[in-house]
Amino acid sequence: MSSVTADHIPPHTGHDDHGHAVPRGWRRWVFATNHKDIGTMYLIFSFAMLLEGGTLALLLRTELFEPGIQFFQPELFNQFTTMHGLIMIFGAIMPAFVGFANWMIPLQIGASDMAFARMNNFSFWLLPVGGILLTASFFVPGGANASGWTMYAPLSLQMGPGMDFAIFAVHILGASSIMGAINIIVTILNMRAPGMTLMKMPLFCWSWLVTAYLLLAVMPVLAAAVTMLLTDRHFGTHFFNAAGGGDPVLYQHVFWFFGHPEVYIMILPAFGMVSQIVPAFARKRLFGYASMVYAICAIAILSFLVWAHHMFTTGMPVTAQLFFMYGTMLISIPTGVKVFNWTATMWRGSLTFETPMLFAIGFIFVFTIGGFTGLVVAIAPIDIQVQDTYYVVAHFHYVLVAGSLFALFGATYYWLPKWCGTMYDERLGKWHFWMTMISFNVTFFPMHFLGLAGMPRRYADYAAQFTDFHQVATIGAFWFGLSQLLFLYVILKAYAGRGERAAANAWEGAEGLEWSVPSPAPYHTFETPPVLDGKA
Amino acid sequence: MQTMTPEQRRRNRRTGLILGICAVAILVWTFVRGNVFGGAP
Repeated sequence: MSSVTADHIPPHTGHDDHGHAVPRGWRRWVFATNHKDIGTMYLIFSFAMLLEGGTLALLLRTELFEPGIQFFQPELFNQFTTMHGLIMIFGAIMPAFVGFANWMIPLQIGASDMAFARMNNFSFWLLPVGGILLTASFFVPGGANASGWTMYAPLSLQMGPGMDFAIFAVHILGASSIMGAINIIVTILNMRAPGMTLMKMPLFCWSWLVTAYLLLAVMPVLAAAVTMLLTDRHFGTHFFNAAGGGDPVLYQHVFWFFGHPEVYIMILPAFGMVSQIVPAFARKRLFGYASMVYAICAIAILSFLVWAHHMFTTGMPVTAQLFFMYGTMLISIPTGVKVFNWTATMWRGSLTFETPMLFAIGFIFVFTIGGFTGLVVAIAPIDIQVQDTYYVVAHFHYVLVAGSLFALFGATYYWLPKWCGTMYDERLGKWHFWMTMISFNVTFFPMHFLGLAGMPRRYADYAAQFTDFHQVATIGAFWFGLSQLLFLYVILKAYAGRGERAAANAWEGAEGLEWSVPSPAPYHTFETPPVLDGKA
Repeated sequence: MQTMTPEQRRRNRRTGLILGICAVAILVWTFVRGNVFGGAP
């Protein structure tokens, strides 16, 4: 990493320094404009959504423990599947990354706050509205949206009012994301401390800068797609209705033009987090900082060119199949650069294996498995065989759970001392890692075999020969879910101040401006921009 | 807390506005293209 150290940091004496009292009571949160408070609210909201989405997943796994219909009719099962996906993507993973961006980007670039503090507040408060709309849709006539998180037409044109709830929720959550993206881009471009050039920025900021551009480019596309769904449903248009001259496959093209970059929106900030953690615990500079930046940019650009690899079975010409197949494979090159650089950073480093490092290494190991299965499903003839099977479910959970979630856990442990001023319980953190790592693989690894054997996704019932693997996956899922309660306990314990006091630089090998302010970070930081010595 | 300078505020507003216009333009463009390919009412 090309890091910058500060020559002169203005002194911080505590929370109420500079004569500016911290707002108290509910007003502090409802009218919050402080990036740290808003970041905290994002993280709390996303964890609540993670629990809700996780509970839905456990209900699915409960039904799938045995063949036959045990607890939920297929209609309700499909609602659970759909809402699990929507809640996890739009309610849990994306807001969690924005929470980290809010907390850490101003601290890492030496800015006093985000560029648009009031818009930041509005971006956050849209989220609970979207979350409530999604959750409330279970209670409308016909129940929640059951078309899958992709909301494919023409199925989505035929659903009840639950679908409208989902469309409005996506609009609201999308608007929040766009405002968040604008805020992040403007903050990074305009509010860096003097001397903090782009190529000296921490990689987490770089990953978020690129992610924010991706968000800005594709969230309006999703908004347009679901608006077209809405007008088809209620205002007599026929964008996706074949009977009126429309084309249902058009929806898939528009959706996946959003949907594939969305995958990278959920993984690029994770790359940034791992790029912060690995050098800190290897006690070495990040290997190949510039190539990491270029790799992030390359992944982002390529992500716009591969959307139709989700649509190999829609009957596209062979030439198009080849283009999207090779385009998809090309992404493995910049991704490989990143995995190589993380490994090279660890090579001959003075490694220690605290919980953040365990999650970072776990991320590299398990995400790479997800990357390999991604290459498998990129091959059009194979994808046509495993389309909509559990192989695909296994693949994207290896990327999204092992990718996004592991990085989020690692980054939480890494920056927690800065947030609350107390070191977490290392022993319990390690327990959390190993329980999560093992139970994750117990849950999702058997799904590869299920998919290769022909088990379709989104089915409430299955043939008896799939029972064993389904039972292993269900046991693993409950184990995985319960392990996250341990995570909650570790965090609450640290916030309660039960642990060792954290120093300003909580980790021996950590670099960056965020470690130059006291722990916990004062309410106001970098009111006077730090003076950087420009060492790179 | 030190406030931003008026010049910095102007710069932020200008950059934010450009980005916001881009987002709206992409939304409108998607809608228009959808109309061409997907069939109007």
